[in-house]
Amino acid sequence: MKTILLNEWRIVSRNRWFLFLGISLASMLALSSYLGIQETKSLSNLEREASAHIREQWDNQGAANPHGAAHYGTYLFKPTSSLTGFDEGVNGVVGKTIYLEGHSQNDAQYSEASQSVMATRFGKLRPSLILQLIVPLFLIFMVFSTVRQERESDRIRLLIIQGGDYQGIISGKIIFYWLAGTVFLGISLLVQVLMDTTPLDSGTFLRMLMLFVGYSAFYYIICSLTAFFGANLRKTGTALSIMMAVWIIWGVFLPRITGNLAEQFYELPTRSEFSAQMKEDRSAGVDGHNAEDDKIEAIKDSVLRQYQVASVEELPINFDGILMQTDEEFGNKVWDKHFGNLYQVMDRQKTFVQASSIPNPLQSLQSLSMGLSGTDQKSHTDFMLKVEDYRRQFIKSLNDKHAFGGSKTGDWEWEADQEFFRSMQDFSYQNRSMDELIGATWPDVAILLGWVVGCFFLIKSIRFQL
Amino acid sequence: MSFIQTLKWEWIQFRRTPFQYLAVLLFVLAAVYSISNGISLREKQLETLAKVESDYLAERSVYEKILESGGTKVESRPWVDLSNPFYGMWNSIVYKLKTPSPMMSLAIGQAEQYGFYKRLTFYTSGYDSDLSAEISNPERIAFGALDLTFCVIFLLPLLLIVLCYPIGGYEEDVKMAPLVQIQGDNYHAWIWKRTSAIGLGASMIVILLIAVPSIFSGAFTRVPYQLFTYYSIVIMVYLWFWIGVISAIISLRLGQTSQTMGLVLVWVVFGMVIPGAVQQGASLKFPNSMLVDYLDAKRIDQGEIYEADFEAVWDSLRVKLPEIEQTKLATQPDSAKIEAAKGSVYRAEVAFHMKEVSENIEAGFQQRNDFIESSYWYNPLMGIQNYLYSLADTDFYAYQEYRVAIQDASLELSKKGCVEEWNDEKVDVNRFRSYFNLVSEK
Repeated sequence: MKTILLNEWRIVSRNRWFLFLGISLASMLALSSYLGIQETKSLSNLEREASAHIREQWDNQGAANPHGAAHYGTYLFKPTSSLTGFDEGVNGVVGKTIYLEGHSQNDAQYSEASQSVMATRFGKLRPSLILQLIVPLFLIFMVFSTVRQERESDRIRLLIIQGGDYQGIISGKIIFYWLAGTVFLGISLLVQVLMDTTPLDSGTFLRMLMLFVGYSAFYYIICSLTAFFGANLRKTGTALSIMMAVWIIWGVFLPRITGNLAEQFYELPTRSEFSAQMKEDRSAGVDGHNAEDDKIEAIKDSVLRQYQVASVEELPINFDGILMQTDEEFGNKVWDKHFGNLYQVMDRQKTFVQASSIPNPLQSLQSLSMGLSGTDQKSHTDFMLKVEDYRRQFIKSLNDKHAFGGSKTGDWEWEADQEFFRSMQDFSYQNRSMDELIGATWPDVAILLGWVVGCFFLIKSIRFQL
Repeated sequence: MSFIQTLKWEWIQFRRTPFQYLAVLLFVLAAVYSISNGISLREKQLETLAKVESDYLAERSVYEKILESGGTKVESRPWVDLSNPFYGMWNSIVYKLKTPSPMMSLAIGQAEQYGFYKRLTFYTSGYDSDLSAEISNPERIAFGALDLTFCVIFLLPLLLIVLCYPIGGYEEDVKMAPLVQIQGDNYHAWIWKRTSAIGLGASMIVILLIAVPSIFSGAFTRVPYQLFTYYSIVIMVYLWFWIGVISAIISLRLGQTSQTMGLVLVWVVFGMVIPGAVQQGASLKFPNSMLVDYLDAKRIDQGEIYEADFEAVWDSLRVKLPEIEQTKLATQPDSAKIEAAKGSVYRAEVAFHMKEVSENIEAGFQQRNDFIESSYWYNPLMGIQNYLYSLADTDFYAYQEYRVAIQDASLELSKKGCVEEWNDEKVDVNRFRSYFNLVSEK
């Protein structure tokens, strides 16, 4: 094996064309990793500045009515995960700005993609793009070229006569180019570790390790398949055509088709339908702003009984605050139902895409890569759910202050002091835990491993035909 | 060998090569699927618009009937007085819709990233949350829409590569290239004839792919024929440009493997690497602003305007809206009525300010666009693609125009409302109806 590896190295190092391509790829990877990190840093700074700016507005709003402050609301900016520089995933197309206010759960707005004309159809020049599409193409040509050369020059017969093992030779070549692929991968991850100023925590390290394993598995698949077709098919053109077709179908064709099919099989509502359904369900609940609402009576009776008074005016608290929170809690159930359905449909779409990746391990790799980088749809949903949890706490604090802060029912002029607003906690987002991540990405891992095992046996089945 | 003979031989070669056959089939399937995608997206948008329109027309008719019967009060909202221009305009429920072009079936472009219907009020802006894009799976959006334009710009060159790569390369591998020359043909002309034969076949496929669905979906009759002509011409020029590039690479006589590698490399560089690098550069130079300026304008600037002295706001507004000085209340002051109409002055001032802010935001976007557009000479695939999207009204500029129109319409409403309030106008059913046409809805 060592001899085969050394021999391959000699062949590659003597071929200026391959060397040029290899060095170009390595440089491109290093540069794209560096630029990805720079962009992540710059975005993180902008997010921090924007968050501080908005927080300052909140802190300096002065004394205000808590419910007025709930309408004034605040904004959150989606943080950029440290591995966004590696794989941007959905981050370029989802919004970054979320308005938090009373009575409403809002979506993220102002995506980067909506702020300019289109500049690319395959994403930014991030390491993920190079490692998923360009490095495999390079490996296809390299493996194909070396296997065909052995066949067409008839050197393979000589090697077999001299006691060489055909499978061993092919496996050696596969391992050499697989190692070359992992070197490219290593360069990218190394730049990521060296250039990223945020300390490498165990979670990120584990994610990077899993990325390494996932990409390595894919490179083994691509090298093995190329070697198999290169070694088994009589015509060079046919063998090359198959691998080119595989690359095009896997990388360009299927990801778009399956995504579209998923949306056709599991249809999402239109925004107007979605809003109309929520509005309808919402109208069945308490309207906190409408004192004439019949549904208020039951709540009023229960509060009056609790405080043993005859009218809301006699209450030692502000009944309006309680009403607002009741309104909010009913709204939360409505949002849970509708946004829950929405996320469920998206999850089904994701499962469909993952299942349809069985014939396309590249799609599994793409899904795994986005998941581990914290930039897939599930990470975005997780972020949105945590933002919504925060919004509910945030609004509840304001409503509680309105109810129990010292004002009386009907006193809309009452104001909480600035200190109260300043004391409200900021939102901080923690990425999904490793357990959650494994739960979401295991189908991708299983498909990749299945392919690795399949390819291993495929190579085992190679027989030299004289 | 004549060109007709070359055509015949290429056809025979094609029929005997299952992988080429399969490649064409896949391309056609992808194209047909992408066209059906475009058609269904357009139909879905039209259905949504029809629903939105019927809903708002129904809502509007409720208020129209109140005014027709001589009433001005709305039972469910006792504070509403429809005879007041503010409430009259508010309840005239005016929308601005962006009807999709029939060419969307060929070019979805950026259509899925933007909203296409918006209710107009005095407070409307082109960046409101209800103008968000339709709900869709972000992973699918990140992979990009599959439309005919994508198939033509990215898949067609790959198809041409698959069809052309054996040309010359095979002859080089089996050392038959000198035989071609001995037989009297100029080698380069022989290559050009063979690639042209394939180009001709591909052109026919593409023309059919554009024409057939356009005829059946009725798009031909609904959009000016020039658009289809431009679309088709650009695609044909693009196709033959690739035939030229492929012929040039084949002429280098590299052998089958290196030739294929070279062809695919050119595609990778122009289809992935350069566009990806340009996008990366644009993001670094002009990162997502998260529209903090707009948020500030909505919260801080508006607050400041509403808190400002009326005199100062009046002075500022009369420069921008001189007709306000000729209004009834301005010329014959009535303190009670002026007090009630002051709100409209603040609203109009805010609308002018928001217009200014939106212009600044769009200017910021334009800087990013300029950066991307200046790359078209070395990033031609995206330049051509964006041109095709502009023909279909599905590019960034089509939606920018829509946003600007929304902002202008909001300003128009505020100006009109302000002048009417200051003229102490009362809204009757005819005036109410006139609000429907105040801004063009489509």
